[in-house]
Amino acid sequence: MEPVDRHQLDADLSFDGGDLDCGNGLLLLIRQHMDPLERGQLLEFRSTEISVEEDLPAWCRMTGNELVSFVRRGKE
Amino acid sequence: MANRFCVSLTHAKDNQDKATVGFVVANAATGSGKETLVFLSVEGVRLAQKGYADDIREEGFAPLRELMDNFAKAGGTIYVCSPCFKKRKLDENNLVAGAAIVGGAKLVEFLSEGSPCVSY
Repeated sequence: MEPVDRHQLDADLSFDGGDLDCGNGLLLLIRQHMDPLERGQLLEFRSTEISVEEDLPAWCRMTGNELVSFVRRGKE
Repeated sequence: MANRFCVSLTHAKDNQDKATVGFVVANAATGSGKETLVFLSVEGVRLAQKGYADDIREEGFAPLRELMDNFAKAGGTIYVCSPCFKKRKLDENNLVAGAAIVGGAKLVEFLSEGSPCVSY
C-alpha cells in the first residue's frame, strides 16, 4: 500500500505508540486498543518505529483487519 | 511439502561458524526453489550491516559476504529483528541487500503460512 497525504476517514479511536516496538509488547498494545472497537470502526495508530511499516500490514492480514490507509510524515 | 523455508540466525562474529552455515543452508533452500527467509536476531543482526561480514571466512566454506550476496541475488529475504537492532545502536541506513527491519508480526506471518524453520 502506498502512503497518502491524509486519511480520508475519521478514526473512532487514536493511539500513539511512539517508538515502541515488538520488544516492548507493541503488538499486544495494538490488540488492546483494537479489541474494544465494533466491527467497521477505525483505529488510528501513530508510530515512529521503523518496523511498523512492515509489521502492521502483516498483523492486519493475520488478524483479519483491514489497513485502510497510511500517512508518512518524517519518521512518523 | 511447504514451498517456504526459514533460517533463524542468532550469531555473527561471536560464532562465525554458525553465521556461515546459516547462510549456506539458506542458499541451499533458495537453490531448491524455496521462498527463503533468513531471520536475524540477537547478535545475528550485526550481519545486516554493510561491510560487517566482509572479513568472515570459515575454512571449507565460501566467504560469508559472498554467501549473503548470492542469497540476495537469488531473491532471498532477510528480516532483521527491530529491538535487537536498536539495542545495538546499528545504522538502519546501511543495510545489506535484501534486508528489512521488522517486528515479530512479519516472522509470525511467514511461519504461520506454513514454513519449516531451522535455527543457528
